[in-house]
Amino acid sequence: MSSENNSPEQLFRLRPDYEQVCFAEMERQGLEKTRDNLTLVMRQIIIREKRGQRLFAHKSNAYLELPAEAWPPDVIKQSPTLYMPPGARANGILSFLFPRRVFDAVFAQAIADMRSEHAEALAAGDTKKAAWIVARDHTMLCLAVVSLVLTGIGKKLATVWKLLP
Amino acid sequence: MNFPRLSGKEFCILDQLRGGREFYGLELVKESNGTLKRGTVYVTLARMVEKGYLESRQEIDPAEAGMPRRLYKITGEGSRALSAADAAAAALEGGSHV
Repeated sequence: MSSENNSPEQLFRLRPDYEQVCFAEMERQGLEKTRDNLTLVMRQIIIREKRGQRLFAHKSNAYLELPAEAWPPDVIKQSPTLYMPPGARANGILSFLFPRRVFDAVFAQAIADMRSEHAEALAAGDTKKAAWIVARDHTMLCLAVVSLVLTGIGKKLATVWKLLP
Repeated sequence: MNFPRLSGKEFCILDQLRGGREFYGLELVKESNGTLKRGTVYVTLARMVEKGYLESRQEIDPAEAGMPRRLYKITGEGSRALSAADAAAAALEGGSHV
């Protein structure tokens, strides 16, 4: 391995917290904090991290060639799950159904409130409250749709009433 | 002179925004003690902006993630409507706005 590949920049790409990692490794090995020891430890870490990355890439490719049922349980357990933010589907439907101005003034605000309160509940570790907020605010969105439609109809009727002789 | 008539919800919103304070819709709901509902507050706010009682601006904060939110503020027209409602309430016996 060339010295260029063992540079702090190279290590920084692998580990953004490389200074702390290097000093911790030096302490673990009982080495003095000298420049030579820092270079030595840095080289060791780079080799270890690259080996880890190669192993991870190899394992990932191997798993991808297998059907999901054949994956070991720990791999399935570790695979990340992506959740849509609450109100994502309502956001899509309502932005399609209503004009941009109305959507921004009414529904986008209600969805933003729902997400804010949902995030607060999750941050407090209260998943039941978070689920309740999502259910309640979806009901409120439906109520807002009804209210908006009724207001629109009322306005039209008022206009027609004024036009009558 | 044509005095604007305010509904109970409109009065509640203008009353909270008295003094030129800026509020989010959710803050208005929380401080209304049940007078304003989450499902209808934004419809009412949008209608009041159309009538000229309120003005709204989109919050611009690059540090804040998520959908942009709107802050609402009373206008001169809104202040006049609120003063008229206050005067009407004071003229009534008991002075409460219904």
